[in-house]
Amino acid sequence: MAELYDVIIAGGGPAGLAAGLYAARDGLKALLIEAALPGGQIATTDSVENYPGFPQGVTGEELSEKMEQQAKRFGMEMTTDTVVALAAEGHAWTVKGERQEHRTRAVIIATGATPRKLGVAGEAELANRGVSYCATCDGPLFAGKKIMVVGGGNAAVEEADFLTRFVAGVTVIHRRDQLRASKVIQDRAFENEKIDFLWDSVVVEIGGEGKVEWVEVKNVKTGETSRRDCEGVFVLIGSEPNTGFLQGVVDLDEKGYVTVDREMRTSATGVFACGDVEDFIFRQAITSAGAGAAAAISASKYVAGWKE
Amino acid sequence: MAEGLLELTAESFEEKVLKSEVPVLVEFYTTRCPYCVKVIPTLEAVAEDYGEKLVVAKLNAEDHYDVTAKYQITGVPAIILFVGGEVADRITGAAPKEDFTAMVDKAVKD
Repeated sequence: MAELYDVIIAGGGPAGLAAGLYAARDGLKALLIEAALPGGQIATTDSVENYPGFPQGVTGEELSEKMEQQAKRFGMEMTTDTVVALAAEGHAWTVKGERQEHRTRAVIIATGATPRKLGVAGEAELANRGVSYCATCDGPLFAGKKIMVVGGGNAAVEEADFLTRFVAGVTVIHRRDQLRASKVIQDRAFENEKIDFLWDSVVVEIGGEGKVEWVEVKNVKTGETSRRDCEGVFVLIGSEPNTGFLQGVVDLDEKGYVTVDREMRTSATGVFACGDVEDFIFRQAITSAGAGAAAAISASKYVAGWKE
Repeated sequence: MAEGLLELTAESFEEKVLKSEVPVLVEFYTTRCPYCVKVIPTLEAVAEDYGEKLVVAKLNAEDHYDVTAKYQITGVPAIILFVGGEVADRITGAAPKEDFTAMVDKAVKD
C-alpha cells in the first residue's frame, strides 16, 4: 500500500507554500504538488511591492524561491505534477496526478486561478501568434513592437509598465473611463511615455494573417468601432479558479470558486481550500498566504483526530 | 538516456540544429514562463522514447533574440521540429506527450 501522507497540498503558489510551511512545522508529513513553477501567479510577476516585509519590493522570482525554501526547510516534500482528480477512500483521500497517485489523510486545495480570456473572434486562432496572457513569459518576444494591453486592474497596468522595457509602445484598452488599479500603479503608468490609454473601449476582434496585425475596438459609450494596428495583444482581465477537477467532490459557487467556511473547510470532510481557488474578493499574495496558513492549522487539527 | 535537454546557444544552434543529421525538437523558452517549465518532463520523455533518432534541445529566447526572431516566435513555450535544417512543424504551449509524438512521427515518416 502506498505511503499515507498527513496532508497533500495541491498547488504551489503563495497559498500552497504557506500551507506547506505551517503543516511541516506542525510535524505533519506533507507533500506539495505543483504543476509548473513554485510561486504560482507570483512566479510570473516581475515585481511585488505590496507583500509585507520587503520595504524595497521584491521580484516575484525571489519571493517564490524564498517561500519554497522556507517550507522545505521544515520538511515539506514537493513534486512536479498536475492534480487531475480527488477521490475519497474511506476516511482517506487519493490524490491523482497526471504522473503519480498518492494517499493522504487531509487535502488542501490551493490550485489558484488561470487567466481569463476575452472570448472574441480571432483570439483563439491567434493565441501564441501575438495573443498572450502572460507578460513576463512573452514580453521579451515583442522587442521593438507596438502592443495592446487589455484590462484596467493592477495586473494589466503593472504589466503594461513592465512591457515598456521591451516594446516600442503600449496602448492600454479599458472598458471604463478610469482604472481599477491602485493609485501608485496608475501614477507610474501615466508618467510612462511609452504608454497611452484608450478609455471606454473593448476589443471586439483580433485579426491578422497568421499573426496579430490589428484589433477592432468599440467605444462602449458611442458604439463607434475602429481598427488599430498592433503586433501583440496581452489580455490581462483577471482570472478563473482552477476547479474543474473538483466538480462533484466539493461544493463550488456559481462562479466556480470553492466554498469554504472561516476555517477554510470545504464541503468534503478532510478537504480544505485556500487562495485564489476560493477567494474571489481579495486575490492578493498576502491574503492567499494567510489563507494557506489557516488551512494548514485547520488540517492539522483534523489530522490529530483522524482515524483509519 | 534523458540527461536533461541540450541547452543551445546562438553559436551552437547552426551546428546542433540546422546541420543535424537527425530531426531536432527545440523548445524556445523565456526565463519566467511556467508552461515552459511544465513541458520539460514531457519533452524529456519524448527524448527517451526516440533515443538516437531525435535530438531534443532548448534555447533561451530572451538571450538569443536574433535566432528567435527568425522563427516568428510570439508565444512560449514554442517547440519547433527541425528536419534537415528547415522548420517541419511546431507546437506552442505545454501540450500532452501524444501531440509531440504525433508531430515527430509525421515528420520522420515524410
